[in-house]
This record gives sequence, structure tokens and C-alpha cells, in this order.
Amino acid sequence: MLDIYVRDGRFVVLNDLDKVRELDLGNYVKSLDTVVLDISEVAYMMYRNLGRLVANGEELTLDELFTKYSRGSNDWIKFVVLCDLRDRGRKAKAGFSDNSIIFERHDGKYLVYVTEENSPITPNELVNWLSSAISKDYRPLIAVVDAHGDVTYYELLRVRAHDLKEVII
Amino acid sequence: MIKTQLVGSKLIVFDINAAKNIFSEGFFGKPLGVKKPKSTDISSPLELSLIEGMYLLESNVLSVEYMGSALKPEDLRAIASMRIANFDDLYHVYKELRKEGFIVRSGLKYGADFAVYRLRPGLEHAPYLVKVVRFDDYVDPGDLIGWGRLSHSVRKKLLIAVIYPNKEIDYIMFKWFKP
Repeated sequence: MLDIYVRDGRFVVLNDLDKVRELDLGNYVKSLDTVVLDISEVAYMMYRNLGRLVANGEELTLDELFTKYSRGSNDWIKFVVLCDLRDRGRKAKAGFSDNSIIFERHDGKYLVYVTEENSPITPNELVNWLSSAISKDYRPLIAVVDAHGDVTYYELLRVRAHDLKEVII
Repeated sequence: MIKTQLVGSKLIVFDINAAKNIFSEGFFGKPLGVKKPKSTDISSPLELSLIEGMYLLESNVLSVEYMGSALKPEDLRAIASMRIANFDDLYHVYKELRKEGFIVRSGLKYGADFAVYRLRPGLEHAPYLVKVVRFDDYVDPGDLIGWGRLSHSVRKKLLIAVIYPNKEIDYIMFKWFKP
């Protein structure tokens, strides 16, 4: 089991870097020679008994992780989607923003917009998200978490009216 | 020019030959009492929606009479806007899709604004369902999933037509995805 520490408000793995690389979680920061994890990734590792969080010499529970360190409204649903994707065999990891996850599969790289029901978004946000994903060479997905934690995924495509002459998908 | 009568929120073409012409030209409207009009051989008055009527009025295909007067496009638009809250947005998308050569019909039975055909009803099932929104509308992701699930269950693709202030329209296609 990997030890995860809190350093300067960040979750870091100092030892066994090969093991965390194997899990394909977090981002390696060369200057610090550490892997920095997102809170959703820490939660996943704790939940699946892959790691334990140590702060001030004490091991924290999942409950304590979220109580003490959750700052964003998407932290929990991001953890839920990360678990769902990992349980499906995808090596998903935290993405580039507080509500994104990335993963790769045989047909390409995916950038997942994580959201939940009763949390309205504007179509403009979706279009911007979609453009941003494509500009990074990712295929855009939206993952909607329902009231019971079930996740539904949709792939998004931006098309013009004349493109509809051919069924694209 | 084909004469129509505005009755409530419908424009009625009472002349059967004229009705036949309009219907066979682009599958506009619905022949009275025919549930799933597939053939162009119709024999009853034709009911047009306000959106279809507006399009055909602007295209100089028909004239609209209301309480003894002929309506201009701006008159019909004003009446339609009073009866349909987002008439302008719906009409804007309808017009673009029609101009691109699609057959556009009501998508109400599928919980959408429009069902869009590339060919024509009877020859194909509408491949697309369209929901019209403004770029800054708030949409519940739960609703997106609901629309998407319904579309998927009837083997159609869901399109969200997003209207921007400059009137440009983006279409976002939703495809159910199994990771």
C-alpha cells in the first residue's frame, strides 16, 4: 500500500514512485521528484486499498479526507466517475480542471466533463468544453452522475447543419 | 399563391389541391385526420403549424387570412410569438434546417422540438431529434440525459441546437457512450 502525504496543501507520493506510475494516477513533478495527486485520485486509492493518507503522523479515513480537504463542489462526483471508469478497466485519472477526467482507450483519448443532475450548465459551457477538448486532441464526453451515484456517459460532437446530410455516427 | 386561414394556432389550407401541392412539395403540415402521413396523395384540408406557416409565408408560397385581413410576415410573427414563448428561436432553427434541404416536422412525441428527415417520412425514420436552446440558457444535465435516452430508445440522434446572440447556430450531437 502506498503512503500519500499532505505537503503544502497538495497530496504527494514521495516513495514507491514506480508503483504509483504503474497505477497511472497523478502527475510527476520533476523538480520535486514526487507524484502529485488530485483529491479524487487519493479517494480512489484509499477506497480501493491502494494507498493510505498520512497527515501529521496519523492515517486519515475517506470521511476525514473529504471533511478536511475537499474544496470544490465537484470533488465527490469526480471521485465517483473515476471509480466507475477504473472499475470498467479504464486507467482514468484527474484531468485539467476541477471537473475533468482523462482516459485512453484503443480508439482514442477522452476528456470527460463531470457533472451531476440538478446542477445546471449552459450550452455555451458545453460548446467551450467541447472545443477545448478537441484542441487538446481529446474526444469530449459528458458524465452525468445521478442522485444515487449512477453515471451516464454521452459523447459530444459539434456539427453544422450541412454536415447532417450524412449520419455522422 | 395558396390561401390559408389562421385558426387558433394553426393555418388551414381548405383547398384540397392546394393542400396536396404544399404537402407534396416538402411534407409541410398534416392532412386533417391522417395520423402518419406518408403518401402525398391526400384528400383532406391541411393543418400547418405557425412555424411552417411563417416559413411558407416568408417564401411567398402562401397568404394568411385572419379575421378578414391578410397578414404580413411581421403580423404572423407577432401573433406566433404571443402563442409560442420561444417562437423566434424555434423558427430560426427550423428555417436553417429547411434551407439546408431537410424535412423538419414536430418532435413533440419524442420530447423534442423537431424531428428531422434527410429524405422524407415514409422513406426513412427521422435520424435526428432537435432540441432548441439559447447559448446562455441553463440546462439541467439530468434533462440532457433524459432527452438523450429517449432519442437512443427510438434509434435517433439527439441534437442540441445552440443559438448565439449573432444568430449563428451550433449543433451538438449526443451519442450514448459505453466507456
